[in-house]
Amino acid sequence: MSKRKAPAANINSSICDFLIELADFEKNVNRAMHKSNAYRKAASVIGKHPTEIKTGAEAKKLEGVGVKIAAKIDEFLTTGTLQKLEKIRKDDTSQAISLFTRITGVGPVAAKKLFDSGYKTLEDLKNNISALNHHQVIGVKYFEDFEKRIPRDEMEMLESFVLSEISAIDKSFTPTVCGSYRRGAVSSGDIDVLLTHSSYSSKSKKSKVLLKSVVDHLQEVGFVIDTISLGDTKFMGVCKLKTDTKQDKLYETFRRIDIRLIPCDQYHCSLLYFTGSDMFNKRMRAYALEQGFTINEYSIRPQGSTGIAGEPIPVTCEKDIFDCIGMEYLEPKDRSE
Amino acid sequence: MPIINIQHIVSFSSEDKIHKAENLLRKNSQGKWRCAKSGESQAVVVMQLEKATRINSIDIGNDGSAFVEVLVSRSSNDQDYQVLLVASSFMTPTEARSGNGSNKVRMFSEDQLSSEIAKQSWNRVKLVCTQPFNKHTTYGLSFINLHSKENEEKSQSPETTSSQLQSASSSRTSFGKFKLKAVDPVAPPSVRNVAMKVETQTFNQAKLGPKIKVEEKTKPGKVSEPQKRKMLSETSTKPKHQKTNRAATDVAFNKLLSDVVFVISGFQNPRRSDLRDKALSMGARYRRDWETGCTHLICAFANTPKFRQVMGDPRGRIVRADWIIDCAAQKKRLPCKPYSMDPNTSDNDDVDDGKPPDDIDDPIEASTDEEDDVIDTDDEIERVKQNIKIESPGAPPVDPYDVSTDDEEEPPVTSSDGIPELPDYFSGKTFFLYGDFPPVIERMLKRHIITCDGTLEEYMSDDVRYVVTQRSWDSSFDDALTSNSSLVFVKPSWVFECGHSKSLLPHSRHIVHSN
Repeated sequence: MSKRKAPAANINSSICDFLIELADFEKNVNRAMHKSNAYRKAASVIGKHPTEIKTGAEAKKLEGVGVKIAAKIDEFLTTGTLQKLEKIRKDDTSQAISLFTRITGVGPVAAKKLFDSGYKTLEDLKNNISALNHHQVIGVKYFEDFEKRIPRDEMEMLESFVLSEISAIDKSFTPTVCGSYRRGAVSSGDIDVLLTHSSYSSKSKKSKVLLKSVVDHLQEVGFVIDTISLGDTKFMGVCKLKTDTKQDKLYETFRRIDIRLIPCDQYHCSLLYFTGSDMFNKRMRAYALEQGFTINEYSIRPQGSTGIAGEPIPVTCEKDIFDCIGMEYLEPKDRSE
Repeated sequence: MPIINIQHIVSFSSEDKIHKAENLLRKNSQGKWRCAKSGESQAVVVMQLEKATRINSIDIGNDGSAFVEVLVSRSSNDQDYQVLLVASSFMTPTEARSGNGSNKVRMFSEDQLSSEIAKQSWNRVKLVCTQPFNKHTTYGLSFINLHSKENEEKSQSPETTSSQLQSASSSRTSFGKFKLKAVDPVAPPSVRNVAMKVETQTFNQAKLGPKIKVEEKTKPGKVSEPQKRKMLSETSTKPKHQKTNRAATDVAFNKLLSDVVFVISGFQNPRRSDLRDKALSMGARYRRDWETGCTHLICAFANTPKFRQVMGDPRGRIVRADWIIDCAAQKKRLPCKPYSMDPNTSDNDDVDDGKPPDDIDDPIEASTDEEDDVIDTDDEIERVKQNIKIESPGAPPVDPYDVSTDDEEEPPVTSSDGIPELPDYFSGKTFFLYGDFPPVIERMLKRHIITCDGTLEEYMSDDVRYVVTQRSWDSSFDDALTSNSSLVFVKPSWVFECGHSKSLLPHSRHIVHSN
């Protein structure tokens, strides 16, 4: 999944921006996931609010905004800045760690370790490749490109290219491009392809060749440029479309691509999961639990009388999953929250 | 694969006037069972098997349920059901709403059953059906067949064990129609059986080491005082040797906590991951949530939800994070007792090397583990001496562990380091444990009763006032009452609650009621 979320363009975006900055700070520097999620939830709620928020008290009425976040909003609205944020921005440690976590393959822990080892800038890392693993090396190599968002029209080109190439290998493959793109986002951070094959189910043996055949082919046609990792079920790599002279399209930016091979019986739950948004997933799972079901990226299962999850319920499409828990079906475009 | 005989229906949540739960007992008939009203959240039926049996495969004929779950238990402990077959799908939402395909039959073989549970023998089966997709229909089952493996006859069932015991100790094993049952087939027979006293002695001796030797060698009239002294000093020094030996043995750093399975509560990152990394590096295993097999809760402050959860688990230890940090810093395994946060176990917790009790099944084992607690050991010896003096020579040798509580004439020793006196609210009260208990519960019960100066009878007798049992009322209770009308039947919860509040509470809330 992408490291960067689409910037929220809304009437309260200035508030959202500083909340998301705080969220990232808590996640990357303090490793306080719950605080981070609280900020993100508040940002998400405020982002959806139709009118301009003028006071903290007004924001506090929204779900997910408590006393402390309301106070910060007040401070931001009256002074135009936030002391806490200013402090973070001035702090070299936080800045370096935040920067490093933007590299693919570097999480909060690795960022801290790199910082503790004395690296402060991207240049430091580029000059000390040996301190990084393969994934991180690629992350540093393509750092600027990976920071750029992929406009929707390019995503559409990428999608049609990948889909046609994969079906050229074997018609029994079903690929879907998930992530924010499937939800209709105007731009995406990376390309997330879910793939299944009619012969591959969770009961059959893991296939070593299926995913490899796809990746090999995409490499042969010059689409996949670099490989971060390739396992039996997950490929992570770097790709680029060939410049299309006929349509006068120039593709110069390298993009991150993930391809996941999913057993066909788990495909729809995976599709639901990787389409997100993650806030929507959380809400849907919470609702499912209330109805006595547990949903994860593999399956939907009933909860037994002692709380032990039952056997996976067979589903034939995403709609079946909604159906099981008695939730109205939402098109992917309506799942952004 | 023979079909297991289902004896009768024990209970059910509801039943239709025509489609009664009993129909499930009939073989090869069209009968079925349905719940009484549409929209019931679940339909449950509990069945009694003829005897404890291993269930090898299950065939279920559905009648309108979306999911069916099979749980098992033993009638002696009928609250504790374990999942044999997880909730399994019989109808899709579409089928449920249209009413089609409501009579699927599914056969579940051994590999589809929960393997740990399928390995054991059970005599109660609970079927839980649900139909969340359609609230306008009644639902249930059309049939259920349980299969056992062939040649299952020889497997141990509680009944056979109890009859063996009865014949071994004929006169004292029954009272009214009370029958003694083996608490656990693997528990040492010695605890319960006078007739097998000889074996008991050797058995205990082997297991207990120093203390029993004292008891044996200081039999009345045989041992002079100086000899006793010698024995005593040996007893109190020996554990120390063991202790130093153990500390001296060099355990690799990454195996220091190899038998620790821990859960963390109340710590935030980055402290949390530091702690976890430290513990993992010493070979401990981490679990996100408290579950069976967990041994330690590393807790930031009291009364977190996990804290409360572990308080209820006698196997769990609650310790401060310093334990992990100090162990890592000193590169050795420190006793976790000084770090304990558990107000209940800290003063009567006798295993203080940080290890979980090795053999929790054995109530005696547990009370001998006080290796470095010299005061306690002396106290114990003192009590044994007391008993010896009082007992007339020639009296039958008695298990040291019931004797020690019979006649506590001197007040409980208040030790120099300020451990409070033991409460004695069970003083003069005689208890009898009836029926099977999980070993942990039994051990806790015994310990509670004995610590609080209660008398624990191994057999039903006229002295018994309180029968502690997990069972529900049956005819043997009535029989016992006719012989002794003052008997009170209580659930283990009473003993535990008294222990919790450290005083004698009214038992009215914990009485086992007659039907």
